[in-house]
Amino acid sequence: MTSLLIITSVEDLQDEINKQVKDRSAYPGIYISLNKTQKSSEENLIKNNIKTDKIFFIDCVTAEKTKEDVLHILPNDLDKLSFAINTFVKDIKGKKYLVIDALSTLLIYNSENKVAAFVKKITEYTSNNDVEVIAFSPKTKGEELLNKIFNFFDKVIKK
Amino acid sequence: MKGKKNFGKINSNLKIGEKAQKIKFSDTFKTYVLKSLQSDIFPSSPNPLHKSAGFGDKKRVYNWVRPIVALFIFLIFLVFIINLYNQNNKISLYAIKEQDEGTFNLKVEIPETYKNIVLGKPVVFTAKVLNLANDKRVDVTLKYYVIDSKENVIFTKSETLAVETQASFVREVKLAQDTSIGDYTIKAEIIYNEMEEAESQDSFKITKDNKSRIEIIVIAVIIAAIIFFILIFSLSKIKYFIEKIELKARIGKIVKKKMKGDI
Repeated sequence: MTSLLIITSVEDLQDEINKQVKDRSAYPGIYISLNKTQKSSEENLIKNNIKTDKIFFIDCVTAEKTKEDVLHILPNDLDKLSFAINTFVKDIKGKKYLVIDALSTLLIYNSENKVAAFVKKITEYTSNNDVEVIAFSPKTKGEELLNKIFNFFDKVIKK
Repeated sequence: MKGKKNFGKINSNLKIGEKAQKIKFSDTFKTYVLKSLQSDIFPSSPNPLHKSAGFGDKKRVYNWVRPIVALFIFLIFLVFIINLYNQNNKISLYAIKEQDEGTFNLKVEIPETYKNIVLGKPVVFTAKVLNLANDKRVDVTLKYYVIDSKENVIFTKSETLAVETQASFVREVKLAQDTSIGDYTIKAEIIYNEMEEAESQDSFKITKDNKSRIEIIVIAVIIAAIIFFILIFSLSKIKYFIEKIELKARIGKIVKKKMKGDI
């Protein structure tokens, strides 16, 4: 399985996410929403005719429990987030994908090194467990971080 | 007045007469003594007065002085012997007297550092035993005991020691933990042939250990703080662990629910 880092402008970020999710809608996915609330992200996907029934949302923007099948984890608790991803990866059988919208958002709550370590941990774990990783980051934000995490991904696309 | 003058003349005449008489008497006495000596001591020697009026013959004089000198020397020697005998007598009497009073001497001493001891700490003392008879090695019993201010014996111990001329011992006494604070005395005695020969004593004080109490409080506070932090750390870890278990269970439920058709 491959890991992909897509660096795009803030304006095109949601379109790019929709496109990548749509391409993989045949199999289940884990969606970590750091940029928008789970509700907003799901509505956006539905608006673009993307089925969300096989998408497992981890909402890192809101702390309040809105839906039974949505996890709410604070963005500063990277350990818990990493544990939740690993558990999902273990529990979901077969081919799956992981979407992380706006990695740079994590920099608001964590240090660069912590975020880099988190990314490394996730990419390592997913590559061994039949998971395709698609991470997004806006162009203007977190250039230092992007320089640190480039090497953890199999492919980096700058748009 | 004339009569007085005549008397004076008569008196002066008389004095002259007395002088003449005295001269005559002394000559007569000398003659008598020399005669007596000649006849009693030197019967064979000729009358010295025949040769000369004084003691001109020295050889004869030495002959009678010699036994007197010998007698005198003998008397001195006799006095010396008597004195010597008396002195010997005095020494032996003194020794006997000393032995009667006790052939041992004992001194118990508590070093200054042990004069004030903290409750629970041992008291150390030195016992110096002196064998006054100083003739052979003997076994004696050293008995020591600790007495409180009310004359209660709170500790006692005895042991056998071999003493030749003198011996020093250092002993340690550890009193019970429940011993009360106050003044105490260590008494020791030497027993030889079932008789108390000597005894000695020294005193000490048992005080509260304020320093160690503070140390204990400080240590207790530190331990309490460590336990407190360990508990907090453990609680946070336990809480985190429980959260993870809950999260895992919830994820399992979500996955099951959503993947119903696929499983």
